[in-house]
Amino acid sequence: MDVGRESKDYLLVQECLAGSEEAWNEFYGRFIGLIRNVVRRHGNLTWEDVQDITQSALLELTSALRRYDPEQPLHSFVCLITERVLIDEYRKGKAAKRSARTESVEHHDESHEGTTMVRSNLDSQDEQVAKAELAWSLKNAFQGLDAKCRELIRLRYYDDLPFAEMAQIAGVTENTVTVQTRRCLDKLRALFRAQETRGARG
Amino acid sequence: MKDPTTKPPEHPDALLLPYVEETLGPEDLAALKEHLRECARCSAEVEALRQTAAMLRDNRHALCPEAERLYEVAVLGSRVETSLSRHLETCPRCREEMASYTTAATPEVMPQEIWPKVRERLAEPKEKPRAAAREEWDLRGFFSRLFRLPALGVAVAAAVLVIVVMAPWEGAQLPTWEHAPRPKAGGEIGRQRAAVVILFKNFEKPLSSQRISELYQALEPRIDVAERYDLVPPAALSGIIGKGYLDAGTRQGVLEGLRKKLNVPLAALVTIAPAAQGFQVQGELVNTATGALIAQNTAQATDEKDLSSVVTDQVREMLLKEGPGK
Repeated sequence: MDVGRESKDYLLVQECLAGSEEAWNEFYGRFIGLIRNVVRRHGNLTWEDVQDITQSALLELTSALRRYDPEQPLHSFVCLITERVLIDEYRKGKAAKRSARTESVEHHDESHEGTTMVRSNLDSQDEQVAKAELAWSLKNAFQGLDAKCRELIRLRYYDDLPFAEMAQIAGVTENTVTVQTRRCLDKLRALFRAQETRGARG
Repeated sequence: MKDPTTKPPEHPDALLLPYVEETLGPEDLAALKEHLRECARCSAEVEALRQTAAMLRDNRHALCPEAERLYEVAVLGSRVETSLSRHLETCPRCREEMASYTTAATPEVMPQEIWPKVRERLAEPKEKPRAAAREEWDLRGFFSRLFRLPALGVAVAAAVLVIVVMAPWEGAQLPTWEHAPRPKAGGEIGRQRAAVVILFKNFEKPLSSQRISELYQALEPRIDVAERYDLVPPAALSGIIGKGYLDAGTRQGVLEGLRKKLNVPLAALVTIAPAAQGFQVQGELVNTATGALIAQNTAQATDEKDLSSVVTDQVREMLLKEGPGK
């Protein structure tokens, strides 16, 4: 635990909450890239959507920082709040889709509601939302696995390595690595089903 | 070399994934195909594996490390483990994301139009506590305080009634129950959806995350429960707690989180508290929508090592004898 860094983070948060523009400039410079990268990973967002949601997350942080616990790394807290803003925006987008409304906004403004995450005709919107939903559920399920399972699944399904090479990397027999990978897939499927149930309730 | 006297396994589970991935040798392939012609269970497993593999290949970026991790490496200088290093060699998107932190000559400057909005937000009164204000619990920090601080800090916390749900977020990997039996074909229809949540009360020193995980693993349903109930795996609970969706501090928060986030109408709440001799284990079967108590039982565990069996027996009794499942 880097106590020095955590103390500095806590001081920065206190100064931000006290209304210091300098502190906010520092906060912005340190974390806007992280916020933007968290947002960019989710769904088929246009650049404008990414900018809008990034700004929403930053503004949400102005309130949320009041509840920041210095036991937690500040960058982790920033990611947590950004994810929640994303989920809220995603649900608004799904609600807009269900009510067959598509609102296109030029600028994100606190007074505008119903920002959608997907802009295209209604048919492909359904597909895009469904794909984004599946990817989100899969990502969350995948992160719920232990490190070993994540590694095995990445080696096979991201790196496309043959089982023999995976076995060499893992230091086990090929039979063992296929059995281990199979178990990891079963775990992933169980987690994914749980995520899908949660996601279906929007 | 195969021992010719060895009886082939009834279900050649070890061959199913290689079959799906088309890496089986001709002899095993022929034998497995023959088996699949007559085995609905293995055929269903093969189909499930195919779907999972296809989903992974179609959504490869879901397998990338979290943005937080890349930030830690690029900005905070965190050690790069071999798996991450290997991933970065093959993932241009993650490399680009890492580079976004390091290629800018100077930190980004906050646009002028944002500062008034920040000031306006800061001037707003503090939010009133509300059920949806999950950030107030800051569950990660809550668990950090209880499970990373020395015993002295924890003892201070225990002077107040402390209800801690489940395992600490950091490093906690709750079971997925992947070996839970499934009902016969068609038997899944009509099952009651439910969840088991373990609560800890008045602990001076919490149980380890491994022990908590063991308690949940012991609750993996047997066929008699699985035929009547669709029990949510504990890993799904830790997933929503990690995202802060389950308000860990109140019973109402737990029930609301189960109902709204996991669509669970029935909860088996098991509260474990230290007692004069061992532990008291109280079980409650509750309607998550109304909070109505359907069944209740209490048991004692004289030793921590007995907790798994006591908790499991209590939950089974409530679900099988008192619960509404089928």
